[in-house]
Amino acid sequence: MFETLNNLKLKHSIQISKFKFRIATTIVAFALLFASSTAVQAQTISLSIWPPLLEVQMVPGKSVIQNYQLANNTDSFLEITPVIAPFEPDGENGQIKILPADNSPYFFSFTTKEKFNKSFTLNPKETRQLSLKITLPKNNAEKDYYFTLLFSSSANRQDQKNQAASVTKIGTNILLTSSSVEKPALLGRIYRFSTPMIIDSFSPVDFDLVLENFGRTFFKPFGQITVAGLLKQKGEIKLLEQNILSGSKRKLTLSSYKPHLPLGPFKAKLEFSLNEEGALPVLSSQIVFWYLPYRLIALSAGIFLLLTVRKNLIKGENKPNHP
Amino acid sequence: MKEKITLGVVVAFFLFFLKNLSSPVLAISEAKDTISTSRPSSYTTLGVGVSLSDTQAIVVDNGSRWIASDSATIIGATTFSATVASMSAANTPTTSKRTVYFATAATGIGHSGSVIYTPITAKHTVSFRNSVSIPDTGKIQIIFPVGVGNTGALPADDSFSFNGLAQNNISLSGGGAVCGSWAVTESTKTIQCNLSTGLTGPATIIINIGSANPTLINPSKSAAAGTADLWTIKIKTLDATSATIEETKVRVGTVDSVEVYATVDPTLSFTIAGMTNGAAMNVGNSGCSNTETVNTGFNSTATEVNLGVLNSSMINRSGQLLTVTTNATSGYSLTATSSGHLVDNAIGYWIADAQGTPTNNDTPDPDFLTAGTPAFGIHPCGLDITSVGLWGTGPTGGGADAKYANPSSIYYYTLASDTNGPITGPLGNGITTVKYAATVSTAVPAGNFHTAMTYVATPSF
Repeated sequence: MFETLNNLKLKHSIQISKFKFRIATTIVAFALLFASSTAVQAQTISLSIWPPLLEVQMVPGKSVIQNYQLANNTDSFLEITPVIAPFEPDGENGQIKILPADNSPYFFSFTTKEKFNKSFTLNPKETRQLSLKITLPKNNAEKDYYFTLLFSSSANRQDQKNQAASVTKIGTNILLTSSSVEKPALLGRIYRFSTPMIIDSFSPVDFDLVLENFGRTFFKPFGQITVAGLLKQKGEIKLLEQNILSGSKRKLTLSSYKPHLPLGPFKAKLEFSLNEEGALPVLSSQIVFWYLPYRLIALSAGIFLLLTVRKNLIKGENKPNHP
Repeated sequence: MKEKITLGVVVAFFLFFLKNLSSPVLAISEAKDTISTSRPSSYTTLGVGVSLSDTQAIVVDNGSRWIASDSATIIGATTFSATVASMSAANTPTTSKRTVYFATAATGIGHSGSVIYTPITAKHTVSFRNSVSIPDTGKIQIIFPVGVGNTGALPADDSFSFNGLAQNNISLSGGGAVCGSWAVTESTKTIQCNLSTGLTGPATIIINIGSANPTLINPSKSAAAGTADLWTIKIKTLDATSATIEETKVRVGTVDSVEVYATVDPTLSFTIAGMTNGAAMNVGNSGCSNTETVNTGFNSTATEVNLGVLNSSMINRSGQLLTVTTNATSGYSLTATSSGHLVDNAIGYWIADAQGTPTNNDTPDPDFLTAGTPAFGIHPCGLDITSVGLWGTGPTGGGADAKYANPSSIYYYTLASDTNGPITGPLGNGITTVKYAATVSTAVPAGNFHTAMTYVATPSF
């Protein structure tokens, strides 16, 4: 019985060894195949795109051409495939979610010789200028359209390789506003403007500001947060003019603020316009917070408590023991 | 006496009205001026001097806009032109200034205060219907606003510049009228047709100004942004003595139909590099503390990662170094999709994804690898890793530390992002090491397993 089991184990062990050998042989064979392949296997792929963001406002029926520069920073030839895909905002930090692209070029074409979904060769160290023509059909709805123009370093391959192949894509975003009026309606609101009620005097205050766009056209906030304390402290944080896309919220990147005299009650007034001329609508909100050295107070209280306890303990020890 | 005075006043008023009624200036009907492009010209001054070979100019923001392919002329030490690539947003780089980017380098020198302009020429089609005959010796006048600004070939901010409009570039048709000659006077902004054959009755007259080539230069922007500039143009018919027969006014607006801004941040770069067998994973990435080495026996390249001989007793690791740099103030994000499982298409067998089959973007959470339990995935390491806790940190395997996931062709996993640009790299921002790891069990059949990872670097908006 034991002999049979041992034989089985041995047989199994031989099978495993054979199996490993087969895997190893196959993989090594393919590795050698790749090594002898004439295809160029770049050690580095490096692409640069300019500009990374394009904002366009157009009257339906009009067209515009924007030049892009795509650079191959390496010493290898690269096969590049341009693709255009719609995107939507992802989260509150200005990041994007690229949506599945169909084969439609939407409103886009190249006036240079490149074609969407067709590869072209970018020579080593070549910087190519591509002219993208955007033509907005007359009957298109007047709203925003968001796209990412992607350049893929090579086409997706499904060939017989036993490795993880990698494809590099670099994207540039296009914010396209279709509007027959020069100044389309901008609809925004302050979704959240807050800060902790009590700030320690040794810390800066960080405001949490989230704006929401419930209109059909993206906007940027133009304004500031003005901070004023009871003891005549004053400060201002300028809002970064970050894009808030249609139907989305965005958490604005704000620099921290610390007053020269971090003590007492403060008022923070947020005030901004949705356009650079400062015209209406102007949105505003005000919050109150306190600067207090509460860590210092807590530390002092702790030390005081410790000393009191210690004193009481010493008192207790010095009390005469009555029989 | 009082009654006589009252009667006298009434008679005087009556005579006054009678006089005016006897020589009425009639109104022309159906008048309009259609311009082939409503875009205002661009005209401002340099805020900062332009040097030879500069690829941009910082200009004073007076509302003028430049878009790609415009030819911007700078009147500097010499007059030269540069093709525009794009223009920055307002107050960039500084308050009340914008940057005009050139597609080609400047071929001359412009000083601060030098004029930079792009004239936008348009064809005007003026049409109207007269109600009173115009004699053969009569005239038709089109009078544009008389400004005090530029004339000739330079855009003005208060009128249309005539730009050397020639007689043979104007035409008239309708009602059998014939224009014997044209008189073009820029000082009075008047274009006058001296008829040789007049009109015997009402007719629709069409005058093409710039019939051969659009010539009149649209005014530059002067109204506040968001408001069209409106210009009043008079149309008159006159008799032989230049007395007005009929007249009317039309208004034409110049307004940007296209506004294009490219960000001031000029580039986004994405580099992917292979790693040498035996090298530590954090080579070239100061933001990654993982010192595990590539143990596959093969160098990885920018396009391929050979995972080597897979077996049940170990986890094979390799990697690539991905670097994103951008001047964009909003940063970037780096995502990965894959063609699918690490699969042998010939036999239809795949090695399971480390985290289980993706069901949504970034879902399910990445998971650990254990040698001998078939799994494949990637793990990012660096300063900008999205939700570090999600991906774990430290070495691979044994049910701790680094976690792995394999995205799919539909669902991506976010590897890294940084919302605080610019991203320049030296401190580790923008640099991500992507570790690839796989392990098999003895149940996994021999084969050629592969997948294709796609890394997408996009700027934030």
